[in-house]
Amino acid sequence: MISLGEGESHGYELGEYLRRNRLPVDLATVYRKLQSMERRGLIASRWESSASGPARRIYSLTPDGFEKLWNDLEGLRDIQVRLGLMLDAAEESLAGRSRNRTSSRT
Amino acid sequence: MAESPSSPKSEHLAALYWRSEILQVMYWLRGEGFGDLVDAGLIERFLGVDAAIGITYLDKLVDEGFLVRDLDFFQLSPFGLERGAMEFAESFADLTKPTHGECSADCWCHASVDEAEACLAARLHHDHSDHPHRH
Repeated sequence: MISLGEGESHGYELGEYLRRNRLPVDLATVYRKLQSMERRGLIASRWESSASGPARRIYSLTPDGFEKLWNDLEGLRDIQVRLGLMLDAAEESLAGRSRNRTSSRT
Repeated sequence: MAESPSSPKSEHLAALYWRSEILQVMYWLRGEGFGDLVDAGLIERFLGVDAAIGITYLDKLVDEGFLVRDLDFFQLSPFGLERGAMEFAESFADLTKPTHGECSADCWCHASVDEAEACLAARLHHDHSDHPHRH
């Protein structure tokens, strides 16, 4: 959905987008997710004819899809912030324990 | 794994449903540049229908002339390809139909590209209200 938020796309390109972002999925999964999202009204598709080859199915976000993406992004940002705080606290705690261990040896 | 929970349960509707689903996958793969050869395993991965069940629908599509079987593989027949082109034409129709704000919903210019072009030509020369095409 993030990729489709940037503009319309087709199945193989969406698979490549996921691979580039280190989320490799097979094409069958991409197809099934697209079908599912289309049935839920989050994306719409059309067939794009080509002079050089067969028609290709092009997907884009619907208004409902944009809304869901926006809400999901807010949720993910919130998780990112909370994880960041947890990691900062863990690092601080580990650094403190490491300093204490070093000073007790000397 | 059996058929998908969302698929119809009656035999006749199920056959129509899976015919549409299988052909859609085949046109989709073809459009993505992966050719049009499929087997029951691929249909299982893409559609979630058990391969043993999927193969019966693939064979049915062979009987109906949509596919050609070569050992374990199935390919779109010329008829299957033609049928796909018709489906694409239907899905293009909404995009190719003009949306003239001035026309009534039953205006003929919404019905075909030829009529739309004639309408546009007429509008360039006349006020839309008296263009010569049929209403």
